[in-house]
This record gives sequence, structure tokens and C-alpha cells, in this order.
Amino acid sequence: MVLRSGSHLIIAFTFFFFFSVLFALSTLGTETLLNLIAPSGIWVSLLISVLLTLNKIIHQEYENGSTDFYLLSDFPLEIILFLKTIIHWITVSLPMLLIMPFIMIALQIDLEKLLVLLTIVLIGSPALSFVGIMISCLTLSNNSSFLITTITIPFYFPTLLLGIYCTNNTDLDNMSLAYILLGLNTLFTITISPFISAYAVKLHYS
Amino acid sequence: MKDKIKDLQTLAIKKEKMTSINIGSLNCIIGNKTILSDVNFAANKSKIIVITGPNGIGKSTLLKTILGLLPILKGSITINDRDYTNDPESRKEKLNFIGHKNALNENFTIFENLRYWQNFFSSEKTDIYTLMDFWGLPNIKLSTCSEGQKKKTALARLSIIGRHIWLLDEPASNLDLLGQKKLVQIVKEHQIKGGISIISTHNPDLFKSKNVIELSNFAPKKKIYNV
Repeated sequence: MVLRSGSHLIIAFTFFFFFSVLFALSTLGTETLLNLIAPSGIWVSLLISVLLTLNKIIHQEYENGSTDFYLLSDFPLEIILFLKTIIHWITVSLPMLLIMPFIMIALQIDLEKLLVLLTIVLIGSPALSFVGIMISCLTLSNNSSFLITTITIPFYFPTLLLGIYCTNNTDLDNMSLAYILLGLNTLFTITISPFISAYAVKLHYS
Repeated sequence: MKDKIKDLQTLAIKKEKMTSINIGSLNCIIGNKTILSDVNFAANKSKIIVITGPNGIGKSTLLKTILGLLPILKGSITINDRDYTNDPESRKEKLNFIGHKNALNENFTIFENLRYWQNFFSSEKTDIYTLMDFWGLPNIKLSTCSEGQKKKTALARLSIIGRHIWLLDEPASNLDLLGQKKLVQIVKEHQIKGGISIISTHNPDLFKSKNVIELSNFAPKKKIYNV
């Protein structure tokens, strides 16, 4: 149903693909430069693609009145928002992960590192959805994409910096501090996001 | 076994008898502004309360306050003899609602929209196609429907969610004459089942209720400025 409801998912997916390819082309094939900036390219394009979809998830349902009915139901709003964020991650970030091997070829990333890189993005990317939905709920009264973007980006810094650091250092030990911090960052946002999001929605109504 | 069935029947009747809502000296506010003050009314089972008044008087605000979508600073709301004033979460679970927004997804068909809410509320398996037949709704994508058809879809959801107390905010808007008749029919059927309907409308005669509340009587007096 989610897939049917949004052309924004196609836009995000297409954006991710072309942004990454253009990123690779912009270095004119200079391998040294590409090796340096490729991980940043993957993370930045993933981040912007997720940002493109944020305005559609919570705001659309608030505007058509569905949120009123979520509040009427026996389900805790926290669980509803948690599930919505999981669906957002599955429909937005997961397809991008699937085409990431092809993007990595374009970015001339060593294919031996493929599995490690995918695991790093897999660990870090849920944080983007959970932070995004949280900010989306906090800005419920204002349907401005500009506002969501400007508030969300600073909250993406920890994920972005840790993600880029881990992607740049794939030869680190599996249990190195950077990997653990990236995992903890995701775990932290997954834990707090549904509660803050639900509180923000309820606060908006009161 | 027979005793058990009898007990269950007695419990069901008792439960139905209990259906009541009592609004006591309720003040309705939006932000810091008091829209209505000291609203009082009570409804027992099988009652239809019609709320009327000019545009902007606070009909929707009152219903949203009862529903728990707006805060209560003064007054009380009692449902089935239990005070729910400070417990909007539990209060919401007792009520069913139709507002100005239809809460429907434009990308889904009418059937899909109704099935979505049926699954979401895990309500009794009402046959959706029968409901659509009743309202004369075709199974088309909602984005291609007229405003009247969207309203009928939202009204069909009332029967899906069920619950004893219905809050209907201008339910007849955008409906054709046949749609209005069907609306009155479902409200009457709900009344026969022992349910309570609180309806805000500009056409109080439609529901032929003796319990009409004119909200102008509860609006704070406005200052008159001489220009």
C-alpha cells in the first residue's frame, strides 16, 4: 500500500541513483580523488534522498485526518509511529541498499569491501528514518519542506560523520569503537524516536 | 451452558444500559481563547443530540474537545458514569467520529480505504461490499471520487468502527438527498441499538431530534466596538 501511495519513493530512488553516478562522474575518473570522496558521496546522497520523502509520511496523514483516527484507536501511538518508520526505512532506504553494489562499481570502490560497506550502511541508515520521522512530527503544524530540512540536517550529523568514518575505514576491527558508536547511535534513535514523535503529535493536539 | 449464555445476555444488556455521556460545565478553548463556556448536556442510551449554531461558534471545537483532540481547562466529561475528564486517551477509545477531514487515502480505492480502517481497528468483520452497496459507492480510486462520495466512504467507516457514542461533525455536508436519507437511517439504526449520536449540523430538522442545543447560548459575550 505504501509503495502504491507515493511517487515520492520513485523520486527518492532515482535521485539517489543519479546523484551517486554524477558524484562519480564529477571526479572525471581520478581514482585517488574518487577513493577519498566516494563514501561521503554514498552517505550524502542517501541522506538527501531520505529527506525528500520525509514531508510525505506524517504530514500527509495529518492533513487528511488519519492521525485523528490513530489517536482514537486502542493502539499506542508510539507503536504506530514505530511501525510507520520501519515501513519508511523498508520502502526508502532498503531499495537504495539493493542498488548500492552498482553504485559502488561506479564509484570505483573495491568490491572486496562490498559486504563490509553494505553492513555499515545497513547499520547506520535506520537512524536517518527514525530521526527524520521524529523531526517530521515535531514540525507537524508547519508543512514547509524547508523547515523540516533545516531542522533535520543538524540531527543527521552524528550518523553522517560516523557513517563516513566507518565507510572510510573498512579495515578496522569488527568491534572497533567507530562501529560500536554507529550501532549505538542507531539503537539510541530507534529507542527514543517513537516516544518523542508520539509526544510531539499529542502535544500538537493539546 | 444455558446459565452462561443468560449471564452473557444480561451483561450485554447491562452494558448497553450503561451507555451514557455527561458533559458538565465544559469550557472549550483554542490556544488561550475561550470559544464556549459552561456547556452542559447529558445523553443516555438511544439519544440523538443535535448541536447547532452559526459558523465559527464552536461546534467542531466542542466535538473535538469531547473527543480529546483539544484540551479541557474547566468542566467534566463522564462516560458510562466514569469520569474521563483527565484521561483523554481512554476517552477516545469509547468514541467514534466523523470530522471535516475524511481521513482517507486518495491513492487507494474506496474498498481498500474501508478495509484499511477495518484492519486497523480490528473491528468485527462487517461486509465492506454490503456497506458500499448501501451507500451506492462504486469501487473506484478515491482521487476520482466526488466530495459527496468521499463523505459517504467516511460515513461507511462509522459502521465499521462501531462503538456506542458517535460524534458527527456536519455529516450531511456534500451529501445528496439520497445520501442524507441514508445518513438519517444509520443514525436511527444506531439509536435502536442503544447508541448515542452527538451531531453538529446546520440542518437540525434532518434528524428530527427533540434534543437540540443552540451553541450561541454558550458563547462568551463579544465586545462591541463603536466605530
